[in-house]
Amino acid sequence: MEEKMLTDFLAGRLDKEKESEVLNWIEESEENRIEFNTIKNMLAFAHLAHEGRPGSDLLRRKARRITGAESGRLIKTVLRYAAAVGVTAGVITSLFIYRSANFREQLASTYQSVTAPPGQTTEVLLADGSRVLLNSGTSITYPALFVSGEREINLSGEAFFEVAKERDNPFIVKAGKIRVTATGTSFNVDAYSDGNEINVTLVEGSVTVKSEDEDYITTLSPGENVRTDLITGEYLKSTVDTYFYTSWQQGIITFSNRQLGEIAKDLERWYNVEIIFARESTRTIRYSGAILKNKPIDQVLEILKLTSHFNYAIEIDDDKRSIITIK
Amino acid sequence: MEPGRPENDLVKRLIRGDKKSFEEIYCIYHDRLFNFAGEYIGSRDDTADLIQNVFTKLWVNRKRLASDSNIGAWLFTVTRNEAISFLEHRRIVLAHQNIEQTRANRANMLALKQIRLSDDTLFNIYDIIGRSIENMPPQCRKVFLMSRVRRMTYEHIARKLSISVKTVESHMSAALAILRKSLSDYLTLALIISLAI
Repeated sequence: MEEKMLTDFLAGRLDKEKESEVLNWIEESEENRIEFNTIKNMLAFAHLAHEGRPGSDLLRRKARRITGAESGRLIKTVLRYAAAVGVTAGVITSLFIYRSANFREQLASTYQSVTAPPGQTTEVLLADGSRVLLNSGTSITYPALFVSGEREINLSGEAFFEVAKERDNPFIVKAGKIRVTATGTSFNVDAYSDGNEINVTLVEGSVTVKSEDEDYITTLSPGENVRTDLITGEYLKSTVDTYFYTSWQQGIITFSNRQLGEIAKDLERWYNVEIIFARESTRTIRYSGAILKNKPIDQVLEILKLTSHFNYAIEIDDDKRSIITIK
Repeated sequence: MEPGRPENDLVKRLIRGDKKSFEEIYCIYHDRLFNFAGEYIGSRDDTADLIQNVFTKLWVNRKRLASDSNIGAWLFTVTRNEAISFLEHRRIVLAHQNIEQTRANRANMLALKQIRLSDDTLFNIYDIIGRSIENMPPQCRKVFLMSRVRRMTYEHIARKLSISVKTVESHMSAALAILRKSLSDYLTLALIISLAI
């Protein structure tokens, strides 16, 4: 047997008939089996040279599911605080795009772009009746009118979609390297460009998520989340509390066992400030809890400070973004 | 990785129940074991469950480890054993269904059973394989990693690199030849891969 046939077999490149042929050959003699085993094991061994991903948050979280440290340090104070004050919605700007027969053709080739200003959410009603809520700093681009057969939207940032049911016209969200396809459903896509991951969380209905190069494809059920690691292309599907992924709509930033460095990125977007860490180690402090976005940032920092040992300084500059240094 | 076992400190901390060191070990070995087991198991979801089980075993049994344990070898051995029992179980499940799949399943199981390694040999394998992949010509290495690690199809690789499928095939067989040579140069390895069941 040619080595190529064996490697093709191992790469799953053969049709049923040829596969049988290889299997027959393997089973024919002990010598053949050892030849097959050698190549098979060698290719498997090659994976052992992998460097590993010491800094991967995704892997650390998976590890924590074993040690039971997943819940992390709970900032009970913050939660109590959030409960006492209640939920206050962020500033919502609404945009309405109307359907007009006269402009149909013209609109189909016209692209609209909407960006939510830093610190605000923006609601967009699309021509087909779907509703999109953009988190701060997020932008979407879409045709002013959807022509039949496709409803395609480009997303950069984070948005929550409530898609109008149209069985024949799938609703497609393109975000970074992934595509989310839905027919009628509500889901959240978090694809901020400064993150290393894209999160798709399904609240109701059903969506299909695939990578740009079609390396993987998966279908989500309600309450499921798929996290794509943009560096390795690996994806992880899990059942989640959708509240953590959708609560931003109510003006609350929630996080479960996230590093301060990550939380800082959210704060930067929401408060339109720049956060600098004087010590790298501070970035890795982990928190679980909730922050009300309509509270001034110094109150938020005061609460985070309660449970760890950092200090901060705020430099206000009217012309530029304010700078917060965490010491 | 030096035979000086830089992970000794990690292991000591792990035995004491230090969660951070467990996380570090997880990050270092997860992908290696996942991809290794995946070669035999096939399905991603099953492989993910299996690897999670392996690490759960490590965490549960941490107190029984010796402080100079070779953690890589320990994980590798447990992964191998878990994968064998998974395939054995699947053989029973498949028995009355798809005959081709049953045969492939059996071939993979027998291949896996053939691997018998001592701790020290395993250290050398990590090292030799790492070096021989590093020493492949750049394009050849790229193709090899795209195919084996990223699991891209030959057609996909060809499109990505703007080369023909034939070229992808020849890079793959060159990569395989390099790997085979470096492994067979190694006496103990030749022994491992030709060991009868």
